[in-house]
Amino acid sequence: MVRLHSSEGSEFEVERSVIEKSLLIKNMLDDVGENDAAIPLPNVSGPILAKVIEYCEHHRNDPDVDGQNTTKPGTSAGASSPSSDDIDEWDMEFCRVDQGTLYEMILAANYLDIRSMLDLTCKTVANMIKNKSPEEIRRTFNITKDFTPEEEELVRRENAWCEDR
Amino acid sequence: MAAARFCRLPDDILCHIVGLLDAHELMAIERVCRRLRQLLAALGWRVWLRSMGWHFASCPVARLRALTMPGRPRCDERASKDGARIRQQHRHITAGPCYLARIGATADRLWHEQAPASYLLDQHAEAAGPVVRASRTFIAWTVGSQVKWTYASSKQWPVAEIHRTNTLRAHGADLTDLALDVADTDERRANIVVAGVDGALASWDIGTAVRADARDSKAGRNARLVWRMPLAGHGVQRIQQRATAPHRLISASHDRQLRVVDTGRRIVADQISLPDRPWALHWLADDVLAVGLFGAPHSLAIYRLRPEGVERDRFLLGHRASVYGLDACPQAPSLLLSGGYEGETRLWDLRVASGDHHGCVARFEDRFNDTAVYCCQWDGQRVASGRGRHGVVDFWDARWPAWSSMSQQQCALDGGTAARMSPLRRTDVWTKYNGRRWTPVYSLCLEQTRVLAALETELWWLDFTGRPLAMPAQRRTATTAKKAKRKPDRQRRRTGRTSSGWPPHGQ
Repeated sequence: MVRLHSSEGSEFEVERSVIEKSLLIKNMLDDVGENDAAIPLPNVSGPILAKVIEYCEHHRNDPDVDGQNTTKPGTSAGASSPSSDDIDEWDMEFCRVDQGTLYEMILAANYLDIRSMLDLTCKTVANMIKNKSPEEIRRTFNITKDFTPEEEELVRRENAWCEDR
Repeated sequence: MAAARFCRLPDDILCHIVGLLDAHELMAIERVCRRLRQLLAALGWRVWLRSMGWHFASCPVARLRALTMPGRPRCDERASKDGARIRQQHRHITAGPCYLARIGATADRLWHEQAPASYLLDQHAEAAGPVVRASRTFIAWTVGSQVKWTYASSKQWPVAEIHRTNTLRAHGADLTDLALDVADTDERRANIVVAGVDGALASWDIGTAVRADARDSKAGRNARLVWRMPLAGHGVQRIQQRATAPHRLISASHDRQLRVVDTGRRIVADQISLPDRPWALHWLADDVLAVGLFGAPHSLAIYRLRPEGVERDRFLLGHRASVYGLDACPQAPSLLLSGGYEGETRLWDLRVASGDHHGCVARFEDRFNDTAVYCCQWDGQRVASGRGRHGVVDFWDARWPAWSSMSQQQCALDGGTAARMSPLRRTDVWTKYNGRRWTPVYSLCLEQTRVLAALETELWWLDFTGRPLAMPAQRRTATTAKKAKRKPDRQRRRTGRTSSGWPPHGQ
């Protein structure tokens, strides 16, 4: 068993085989060897850590995505699972949280280096963007438009050549 | 509140999300807010999409990236599978010269990972700013007042075998430029048009010489002068022909005139004054020309050939010095590449240029090397720029400029209109052998995995394929054998190589 400390100090106990989905923790455990000390995770809050553990428990038997998950996100996104429409039921339900929590989960997955979870959460965000107009995207993510009229005109002109096809 | 959160996600995570979207969605994203716009501009996806073609618009960016960038074998396998799928979806675009054909090809990987082999094709004592031009089967270059040319018997470029080098004692004066007028479909028509500092043009027929060579007959082996015409009082700086516009040639000369020459009737069909001395010339489409001029900021101009005459369309502002090199690739004729004396290579999209927006979509610039760019070439994916000193050629990847090395500063530059590129690879193999460290790269020819570069006194062939190049002058016909007895192969004597082909120097 491995003990984890979230940012506000609450303690979680998980099986080692489960939490080894996280490369960060796996490497840490490999480095320190057998040790009873709790692992502090100052960047992850309690509720988010609970979500992460829930994810790892459910996917504990999934085949590993081989050596690919050691690379940085963004550099080999295309290699593992580039399309964003093949999310299974459980994962979909798992990601049905409010946006704030979703971003926290992305950041936690990134920090803990859990490749498949990062993919899943990013896909969820990408699906929120798909088939929307700029105005709808702004409303979805509650973004304020900070373009000057000139800038907006410039963007429009840059896109003109491909819109008429 | 959640809002700000989304925009405050770190760059690499936003990149990850953006990579799951396709071009249509990227365009929507780009219009959402400034931060996202700058992020996307720094990725340079638009440059790359422009050169790839719009057929890919509905493919997620990350998958495209996997398709077109070299990677691990597993990645490649997947990419080629995807390539096949996309090819199937868009069956109508598989015909013709299309980049799809290159998907899954090994050329990319070679380009990225392999050190190029370099071959010295020619060396001479005269130093007169040589020019090299190549077509599918012919390579021609100038040496002082002479033209040397060679050809490959196979129609496939890159040529695997080079025949003996022929020399044309072409002109009374030093040559400034040459144009190859070769019909790919009809090998009987092959001409070299040369321009000299005396302001005259001359056309030589080399097609008959090739045919005589093929028949192994002695008669007619020499190239034949077809015509010669005086053009300008001052030297002609650049000439260019276009395969789709036979019997038309444009020239820019030191008397600041841009001329359209009808080579059939040998008259000047039209002419217009340039605002300054011309350095470079490129024919983009049948009715659009780009001219690189002396002096900034008006150093790059677009001219249009209209039935009523040539007229200046607009200036493209941005270069801080004279423009020496111009190029465009046939697959994307509205993208113009220009190399400036200040050391910057820029890519312009003429579809975007209007009003005070000049349409510069990318700047290729090495912050550690601001030597002048003397020539530049691109094939829609890779950009090569030849520098003014030390025989250096810089290579850039125009498709994914800043994806992996993104930073906030890069986003902030240019207000997000032009992507900045950093060099993919620099090649200065030549300097190791010639010892003349100051020589500029005067002229370049870039084709897939092979690059020809003309230095002050040498012509080099850079090869990324990893396959050895077959020896020229292996064929010993009656005349060449005689010559060989008198004068053993100069190349081999100089480099001390054995006759087992040309081992690469640069490995």
